Amino acid sequence: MFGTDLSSLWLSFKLATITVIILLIIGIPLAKWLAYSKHKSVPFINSIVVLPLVLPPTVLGFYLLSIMRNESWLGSFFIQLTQTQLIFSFTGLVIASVVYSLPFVVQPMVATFNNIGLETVRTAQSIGASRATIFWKIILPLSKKGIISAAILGFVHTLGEFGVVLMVGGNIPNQTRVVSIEIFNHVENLELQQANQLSLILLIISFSVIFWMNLNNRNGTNQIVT
Amino acid sequence: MKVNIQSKHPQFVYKYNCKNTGIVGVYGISGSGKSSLLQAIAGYNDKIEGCIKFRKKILFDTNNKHFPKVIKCSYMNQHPTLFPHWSVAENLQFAQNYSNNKQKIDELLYKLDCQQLLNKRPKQLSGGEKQRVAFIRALLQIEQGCLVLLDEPYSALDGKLRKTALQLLKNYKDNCLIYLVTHDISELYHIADELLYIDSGQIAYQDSIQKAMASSYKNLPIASRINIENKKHVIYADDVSISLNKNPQSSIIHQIAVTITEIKVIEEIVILKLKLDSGIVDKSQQYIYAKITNNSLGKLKLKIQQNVFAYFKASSYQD
Repeated sequence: MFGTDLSSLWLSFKLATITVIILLIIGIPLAKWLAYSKHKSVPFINSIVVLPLVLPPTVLGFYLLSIMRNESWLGSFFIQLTQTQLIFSFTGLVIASVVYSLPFVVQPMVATFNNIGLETVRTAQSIGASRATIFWKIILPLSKKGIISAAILGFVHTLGEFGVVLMVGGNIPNQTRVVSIEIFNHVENLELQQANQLSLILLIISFSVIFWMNLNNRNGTNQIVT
Repeated sequence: MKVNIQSKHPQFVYKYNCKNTGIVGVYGISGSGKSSLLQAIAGYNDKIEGCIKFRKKILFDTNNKHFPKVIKCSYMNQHPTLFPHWSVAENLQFAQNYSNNKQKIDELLYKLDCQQLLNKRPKQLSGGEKQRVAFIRALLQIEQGCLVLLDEPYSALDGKLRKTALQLLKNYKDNCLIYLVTHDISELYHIADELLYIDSGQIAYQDSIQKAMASSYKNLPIASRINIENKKHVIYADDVSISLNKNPQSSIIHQIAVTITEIKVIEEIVILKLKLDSGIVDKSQQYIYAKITNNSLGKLKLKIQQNVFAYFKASSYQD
């Protein structure tokens, strides 16, 4: 049916899934801290989180490349640990994707936590609930939709990334050649039909999940009642 | 309780001591800083400086780097927050799970006319219903010796429910320290033991409620609590006038035989302390106050120990 190799598509899905799982693990506590903490470093950390939104992917890719190259602290440590290099590897790609998609996951979650409001958290605190109970029984159920939306945004954004992936991962089949790079290769080789097929798959997937997300958000969210 | 706190935003300086039990009425006009005081005690404001000590426990002391944090107490905010993903029943149960107050939820719901709300979500409730549910939650949180902070808890309740709510609250005043914020001083004159009058972020006046009612401090209406035919009333000095003779055309409820026990002249105003004659009211000695002008005092030639008649406005009898 397809005149093209679907391994790049599979690799993109794998990358996006792992990236989103890591982003949820890092992103939820980070977003909670950004939303509720009054520490003076919040604006600074928030600026770093948002930076990938405004930086050209090549600039971000360049700095990530500098941090992950074999001569760097991180790169040499990784080689010592695994006997393989970090750049031009799938692991390197995951790290780059996590950094690149961080604002797309964290920002919607910060907005969700802000919507819950400090007042709700304080009410639970004055009742006597522990931090863990407040998080699991109040914050998490109230921000379920926001977290799902954030995860979806992170997933489709990782699926579509190109610049950073090219800088950090290169173009190695089955390892770092994700679907966006495969499309670029097809276009460069004037294989427009294959490029078209992969682009269409990506378009349909991206549109479907965003459409589903919007439909879901339209059906009402938990509003904070005061 | 010892309070010595100050803040720049919102601006206030509060320094006072009060008992560890009873009802402290916090009175002041809108924006005077009543809610800020309660928020500070509850630990909601982490920008304040100073110290609050309650029952030998230091809630915070910024001088010793013990900074404010939200404390476990029964705190009902002016705009109470109910957890939106839970029903009223679940909201109340959650609060009771953290309290050793095992008062029956059903009973409280019945008393405050909320039984029909049990399975509703907060967004389905009206303002008054939300307030009643939050008040029940606050009651369920009350434990032996705890701190109860209520910021205008009855503002959306009608007369009958307000009376029930006040009665429910009274049950706890012997074991807890209850702060009751209101801009309706008659509410405090009915129930409070002590009055904090707040003006522009400062304690402008503090005394027992009996003394506060008799005080001629500016903006505090002079009043007294009396029992007539087993009903409690608050009578304001402004609503009482004096006559030397009984008016037979008037009903007894509007005129009571009294004896002048004190005459206090404050510039053009004269405050008369009047002892109610027995027989008309309950046996215990009861006093009311009348506010008249210096001119009237001279005209009627009123003296201490003189027997006169006090006239009330009918509205003074609202409990």
